[in-house]
Amino acid sequence: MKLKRKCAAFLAVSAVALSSATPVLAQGKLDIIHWWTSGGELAGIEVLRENIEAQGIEWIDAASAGGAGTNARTLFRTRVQAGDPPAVMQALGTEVNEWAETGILGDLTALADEEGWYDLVPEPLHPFMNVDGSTVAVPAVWSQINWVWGNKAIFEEHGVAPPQTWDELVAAAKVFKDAGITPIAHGGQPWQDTAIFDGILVSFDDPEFYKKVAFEQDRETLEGPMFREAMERLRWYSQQLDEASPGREWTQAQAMVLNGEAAMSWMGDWAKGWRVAQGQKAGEDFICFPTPGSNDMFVWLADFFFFPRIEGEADNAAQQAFASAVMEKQFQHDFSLIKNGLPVRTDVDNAEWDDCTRDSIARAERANERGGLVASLGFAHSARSDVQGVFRDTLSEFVNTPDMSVDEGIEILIDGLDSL
Amino acid sequence: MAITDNSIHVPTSQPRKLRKGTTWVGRNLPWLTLLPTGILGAIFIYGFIVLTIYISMSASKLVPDYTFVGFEQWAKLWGMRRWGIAVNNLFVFSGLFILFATTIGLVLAILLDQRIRHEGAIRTIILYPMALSFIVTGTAWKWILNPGLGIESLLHDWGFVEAQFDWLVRRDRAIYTVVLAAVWQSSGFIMAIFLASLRGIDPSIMQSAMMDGASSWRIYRRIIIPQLRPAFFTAVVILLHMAIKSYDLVIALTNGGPGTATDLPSTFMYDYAFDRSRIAIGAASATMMLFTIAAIIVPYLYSELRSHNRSRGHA
Repeated sequence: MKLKRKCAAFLAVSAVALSSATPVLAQGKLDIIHWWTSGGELAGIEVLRENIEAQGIEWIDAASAGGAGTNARTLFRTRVQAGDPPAVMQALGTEVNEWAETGILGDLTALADEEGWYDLVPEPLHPFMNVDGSTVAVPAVWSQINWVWGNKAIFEEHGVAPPQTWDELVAAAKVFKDAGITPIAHGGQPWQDTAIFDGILVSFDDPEFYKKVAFEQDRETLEGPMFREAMERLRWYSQQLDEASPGREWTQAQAMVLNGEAAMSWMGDWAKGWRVAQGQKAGEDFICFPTPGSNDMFVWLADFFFFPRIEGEADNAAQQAFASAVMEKQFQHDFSLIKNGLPVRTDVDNAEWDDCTRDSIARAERANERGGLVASLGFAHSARSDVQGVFRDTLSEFVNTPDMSVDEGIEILIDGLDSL
Repeated sequence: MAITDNSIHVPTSQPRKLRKGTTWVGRNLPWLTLLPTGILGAIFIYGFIVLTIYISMSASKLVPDYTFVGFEQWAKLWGMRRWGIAVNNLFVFSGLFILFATTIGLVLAILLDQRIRHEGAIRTIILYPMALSFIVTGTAWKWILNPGLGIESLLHDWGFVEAQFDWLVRRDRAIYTVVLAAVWQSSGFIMAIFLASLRGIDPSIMQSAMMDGASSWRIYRRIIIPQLRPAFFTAVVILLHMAIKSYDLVIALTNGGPGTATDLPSTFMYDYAFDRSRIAIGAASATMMLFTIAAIIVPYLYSELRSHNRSRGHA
């Protein structure tokens, strides 16, 4: 009897607790899984959070740091399997399409039409927002990958101008090497080995070649002379690094350039965000230039948010409010400034950006006109993660095996693609 | 004879317990106590083993998809270059790891068994690495072995500019650094197992062998070490399962790199199941790992337990 009374008391208490929580729930809540947990990224998402909370929506942060989103993805998958998906999930490139195909995503088409998203957002991003005629995701920010960051003092001291062509790059690297400076600082993790290959693929200034390799994995092109040359360039790249590069974090590689141990590093524009966070100024402390040969090419990756279908009208309204807030002009302006990425809207005021970002936006426009605004292979935008995985394994093995011949590398790559 | 005494005492001193024992619950109490564990084990160990094996034969990609495709995923798996590297690494790693950890553990135990001074302190120091998690071990060794930070750079600073110790970043050597870190961590524990076993051996055997004029090398080789057979069994089983499931050490030390050079089946499995959204391939590799363990452990367990039972029967 005593136990029964205790149970009843417990139930009564929890009923009170539930009923007192209900008013908050009624205004809608958003639980959001993302991996923006440090520096400019965190500051950027805080802007979004303030906006959402000002609308009376409860923001339940389920950030999961580490592994470039791997941990967050695992968390998301687990929650989907358990029938309890979050309201919002961060995603890169084709992940949106893969999840859309499982049929668990909600539809934002009405909102997209109402706010005219497809007129505001550059066309190459559309295939990731719209899957089979239904709008499932919004882009938050996008990034140029084919960037090189140089230590300005070192370049000036040795009288080296930012190389425009591959030959100039080779000459510049030789100058640095002879002076005892590591020409290129590199983080030898598989994702970084693949990311720099994006830069090599566009160094030929040939949109058609990029598409044949990155989007179609056309066997003839992969066996052809230009891809051979690309692998030769990757081999050359691997010879410009210091011996301790394998396993290094990308931020450590950036720090080597900042400290003057290395002359330059190849990395997407988040490396500029990192520099700015270290108190560096574009044009004064560091220089930026596109990977040699790719001045009119633009390889990009974009962060998206997608929205699993969930129960509850208020929560669905909260999802729409979130999507709307991400696409808002002011947010796009503020967020791209804080995170040092590019705004996904083409109509954002550019007065406050530094020269690197302005250069990047001009390049995106130039590239778009000639079909050179291309989605990244290294970050699984131009192909699904299994195809990208074969490239990643092969290229990383190639970079780390000095005696592997180009022919062998190509053969392993094609074998890997055939085995999918 | 203590047991018989107890069973006589129970009915007289605790009569209530006896009455309880006659009820259904009382009679089946041992089974009932084991039941929750049994049910949980059946579901969460064997149930999920069966599920994993089934998923490895399904068309699952991003999420489980229960369409049956037979052995297609297994065939794909064995066609993958990276899986070949991982399996090869597993054999190299577990072979060397077990060999060195057992040998070093045994040698340390024998040395410590010589009744030396400060044995307690030394034992603690040797055993201490076991108290660290593999993540810590991996990170520490990553720094020690990094040519730009650790031993190599230290030797350069001391003036040995030709010194080279770059195994961590060399594709063909990196797997040995994993062995090195794992042996460093586990040898102390293996030493403790052997030491306990050595202490259980009757010292008079040793004394009488000495009186017969046997050298101590001979005594250890012919008399002591053969008596350590159960300790070897324990050590090998513990080390083998540690080797096959080791994941955190590789992640912290090399993260599978350079390239894919230190991939193990466990890191391969995680990468495919969680990073590349190919659950069926991940499940297939997990199934292969299970079969590998079973293929090695089951016959070993069987032969060891059978000989154990036999020797007990003789006694």
